[in-house]
Amino acid sequence: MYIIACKVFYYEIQYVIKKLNINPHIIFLEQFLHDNPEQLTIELQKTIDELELQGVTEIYLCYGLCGRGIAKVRTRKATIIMPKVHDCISLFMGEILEKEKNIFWLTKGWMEYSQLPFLKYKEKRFLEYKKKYGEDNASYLMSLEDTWLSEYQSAKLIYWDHVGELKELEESAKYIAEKANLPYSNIKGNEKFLFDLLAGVFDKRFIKIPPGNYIDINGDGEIIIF
Amino acid sequence: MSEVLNQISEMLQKGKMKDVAALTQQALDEGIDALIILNEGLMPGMDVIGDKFKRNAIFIPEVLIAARAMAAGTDILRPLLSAGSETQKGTVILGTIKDDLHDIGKNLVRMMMESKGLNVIDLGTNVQPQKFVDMAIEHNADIIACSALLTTTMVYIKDVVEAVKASPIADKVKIMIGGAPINQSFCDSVGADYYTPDAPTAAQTALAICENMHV
Repeated sequence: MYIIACKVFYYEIQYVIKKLNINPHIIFLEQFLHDNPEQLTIELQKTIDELELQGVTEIYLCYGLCGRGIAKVRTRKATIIMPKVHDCISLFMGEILEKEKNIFWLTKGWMEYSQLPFLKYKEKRFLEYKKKYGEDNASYLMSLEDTWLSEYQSAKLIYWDHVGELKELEESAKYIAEKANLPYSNIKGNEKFLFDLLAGVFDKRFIKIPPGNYIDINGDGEIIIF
Repeated sequence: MSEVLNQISEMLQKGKMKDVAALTQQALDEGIDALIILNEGLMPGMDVIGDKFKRNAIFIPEVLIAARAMAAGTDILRPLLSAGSETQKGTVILGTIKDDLHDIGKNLVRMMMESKGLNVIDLGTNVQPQKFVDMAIEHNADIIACSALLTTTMVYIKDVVEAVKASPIADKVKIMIGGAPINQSFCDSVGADYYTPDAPTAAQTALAICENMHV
């Protein structure tokens, strides 16, 4: 079994493959590709091409549509199987559901690979900006960074039993929420959706992309195969 | 061209806000008309920034500090500029679409459009489709510019298009769209008029639309 996954799923995938007692070949692509869907497309296509050169005929993608980063990828001969979702939140929640609005979502991987490094290197960024643009401009740029979450209403940690220690996760989540000036809460997710994907379950939650085709959204926002 | 106008452009490109403000005042003190300072000092500087950004020669931080320097200059000139066609090239209603809270790109678009002399009414984020239309009518706008950063929210752009079609301004206002998941084929499929891939192009396109409309 061959899987290409966003690194944000690193811990959840380790848990699920252990529970399934399988040993798939997994390639994790960096979480920061979330910020640049065009780059995600390039990296994902490159990885798919490399797997196809090795003769792989079935590839599982642990991604959503992800800002349409997945939209243009195609295979020559392999079939792609992936969740039929716009983003990864449903995979953490265990089912496809209508997301609460205005929430800044947090998970173990999201915090570890995105938010905590972002906060950790804040001082470093300020010093780099200061060196390049002067202190006044550096302060201005940092103030803009501080406002990017100002439109959100709260921060919410999605946690699973058996993936990390809740107490530890909450410490990080509360720290991030405080820095973002957002109230904090948590919600328990589960592995069912991810488990079913990697167990080979196929129903309306999933999509199989034949060779040469790709997925995208239509004018009504539905994910379909082109 | 007066040396001080060149210096204004140079300092703006370097994001030197205080220098731009001081040089703008100096230019006024030298008797240079406010409109000339705007069109031959500040705007050319911002045009260079926009061009470099499109070519990936510079990145967002440089654009942001240049826009801030530009604003420092225009703040000084504003009381001296008449609210005529020379300074109000057109009106744009700008916002991030319903259920979408992303605003960094939208704010950059606003800054770049204002640097072109456009009057931008920024509705913020999570804007209901009908509100774009209502505000366009209220402000006699030339353009509705919608931003969407999520595949789950970009579909509401279609509602903006439908709302415009059903309104008295259907033949008057143009719809521009942008945001990371947006592309030309989506623009075509929902019936919007223009798709622009980045803030400088959005500003240039908006200016061209307005100049064409006001001929």
